[in-house]
Amino acid sequence: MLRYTLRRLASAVPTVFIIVTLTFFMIRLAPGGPFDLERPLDPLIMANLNRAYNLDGSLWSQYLTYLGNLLQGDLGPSFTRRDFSVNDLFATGLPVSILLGSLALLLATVIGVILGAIAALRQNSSLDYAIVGLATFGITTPNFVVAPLLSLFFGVLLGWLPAGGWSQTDPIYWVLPVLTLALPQVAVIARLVRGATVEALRSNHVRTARAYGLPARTVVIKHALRAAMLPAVSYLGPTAAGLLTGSVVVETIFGLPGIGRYFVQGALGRDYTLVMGTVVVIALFVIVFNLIVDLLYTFLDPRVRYD
Amino acid sequence: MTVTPDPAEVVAVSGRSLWQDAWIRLRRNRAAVASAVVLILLGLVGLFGPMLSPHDHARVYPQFVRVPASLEAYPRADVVLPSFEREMSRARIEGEPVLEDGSVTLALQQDEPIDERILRYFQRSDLFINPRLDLAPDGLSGTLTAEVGQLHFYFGTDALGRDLMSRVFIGVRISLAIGLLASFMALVIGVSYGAISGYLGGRVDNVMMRVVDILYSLPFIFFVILLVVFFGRNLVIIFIAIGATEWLDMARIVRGQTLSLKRQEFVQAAEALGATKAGILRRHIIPNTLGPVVVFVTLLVPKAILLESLLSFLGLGVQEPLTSLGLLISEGANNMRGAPWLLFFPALTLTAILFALNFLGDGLRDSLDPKDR
Repeated sequence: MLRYTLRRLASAVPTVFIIVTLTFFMIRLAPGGPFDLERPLDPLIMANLNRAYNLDGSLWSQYLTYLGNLLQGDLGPSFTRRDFSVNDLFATGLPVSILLGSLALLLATVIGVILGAIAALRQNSSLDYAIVGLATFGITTPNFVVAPLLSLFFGVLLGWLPAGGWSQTDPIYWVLPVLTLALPQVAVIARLVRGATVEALRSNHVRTARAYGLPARTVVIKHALRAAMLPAVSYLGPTAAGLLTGSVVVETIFGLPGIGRYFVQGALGRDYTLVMGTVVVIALFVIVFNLIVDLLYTFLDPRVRYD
Repeated sequence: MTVTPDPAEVVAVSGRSLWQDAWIRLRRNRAAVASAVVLILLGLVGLFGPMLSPHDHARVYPQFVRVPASLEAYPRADVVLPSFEREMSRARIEGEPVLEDGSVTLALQQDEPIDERILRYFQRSDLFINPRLDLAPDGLSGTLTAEVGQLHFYFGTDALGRDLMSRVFIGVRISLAIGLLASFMALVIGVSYGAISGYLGGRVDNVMMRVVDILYSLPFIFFVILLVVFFGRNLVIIFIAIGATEWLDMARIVRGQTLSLKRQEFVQAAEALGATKAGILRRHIIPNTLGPVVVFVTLLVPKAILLESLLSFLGLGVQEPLTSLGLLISEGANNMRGAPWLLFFPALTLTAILFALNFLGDGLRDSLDPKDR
């Protein structure tokens, strides 16, 4: 197990390297630079700026410098948010995104699994159809529709919750963003769990458990649901990475200080280091969560072994 | 005891192909049929709606900014006379206008000759059509008549005074077009890549699939954004960017199918007959992978539409005055407090499209899945 984990982490290194390289040269190929203004800067000032931000050498030497700094954990200074390094930006933004993302992940998993299991146990009942309908609605309604609607309804019309804004200490500000983030995931997880549970309830090992005379609750929870979690878990890997690294839509609509906005803002402002930093952080999250998923498999399905 | 089948009976039962079978089962699925009908209707709306709509999607009506959705015609009766009086004060004429049978009449009496150019003010207004000035021979008195326009804004108008219904029609057209074109592009790349990789096998397959794996671990939505930011915001770039990022799953599915197909007898027979590799791929492999591919495409189209909507929402999609459903929704979200219909109609339309595509995809999967008979 430990050897497998280490091998997987080692094989992630070339992947991250390729991602960093691709992104680096893609951004530099793009027209325009971080210091382009409507009125061009004085050439001397431009040269100074380029020197200060290490943009004056050849592309190749800049790339090597960036790689060297990256290995030491230094993501470089932000070009558009002067006085901040990319590390500073992530240090303040990442906790917000992780907090909201993990709450949404927890909520989505719990509710999604419960709904999916209920729908599967009452297959073809009206409750089942209601859950499937709700799930389809959740999947097809994009979050940039859900977010303003929730904000309008609970924030403006009813006035129960703040329509937007952020407070690190007051959980009432977390409710709407977490709901928006969780809703589509609830829908997907419920659908995945329902399908897998329906199949698992018909499978041999569940029939055996029933034949042993185990109580219905044990059969469902310990035998059917455990097997039915597999597709949901493999879906949750990349999803968790996406949730924890923030959503540009949710952050824009609710005005949250997370890191989801940085990629789009960075790309628009040609903030090379900010874009690179976002890509690196997200790639790391994706790799780590895919690894966690593969390790979880061995707990959920004894047939899966990594040796 | 053996029963010898009557030869006539054997001939009478003709075999059904996979597609006929699937078609019969699909027709029995009511949700899928209803979705197909909805999609065809929406497709027709996208194709012909903008032509049939009474307003151009880019036409601005400055006097009808943010009017609510309504089946009744604008302008409302109570705003006609005040608007007429406003135009009168601009034209520097005085009098008592009378509203009667959908037209306004004003008797003019002045000390100096009436300038015919005052008509311009009424021609320019969106509220009045065919303003007429009948002057008495002396030029000092006359009547000004103007019919009151009958403008219908069934979905209301936006913050600039453009008809929302025409804009939703255009949005449907653009969103469906991008969804279909991007999916088609993903289809072409994915199917040929997957089929070649699976059929050639060996080292070629290894390298090709490694490339797919690496591309998979890139945060790919971001590459769409990068492409669009760097290469400009036109329609072609948007659908190329989406198509170029959505082919990975397709390639994997087709490769898996190809791996099992290439060991089957009919492929070996073709090889034995000396068919070329390209010929076998084209004639035997690719047509047989199409079942799962068709299902996947119906799920890919809503993904592409959503991706385009997301780009438009972020301000990276199509550009004004052209519009897409995502752009309309983002405008609606900004105006939802004062003008909720601006969010309601585009959001409803987008949800309907995605809903129908999802149900159709599910129905196709059920009817094409050979396990599920």
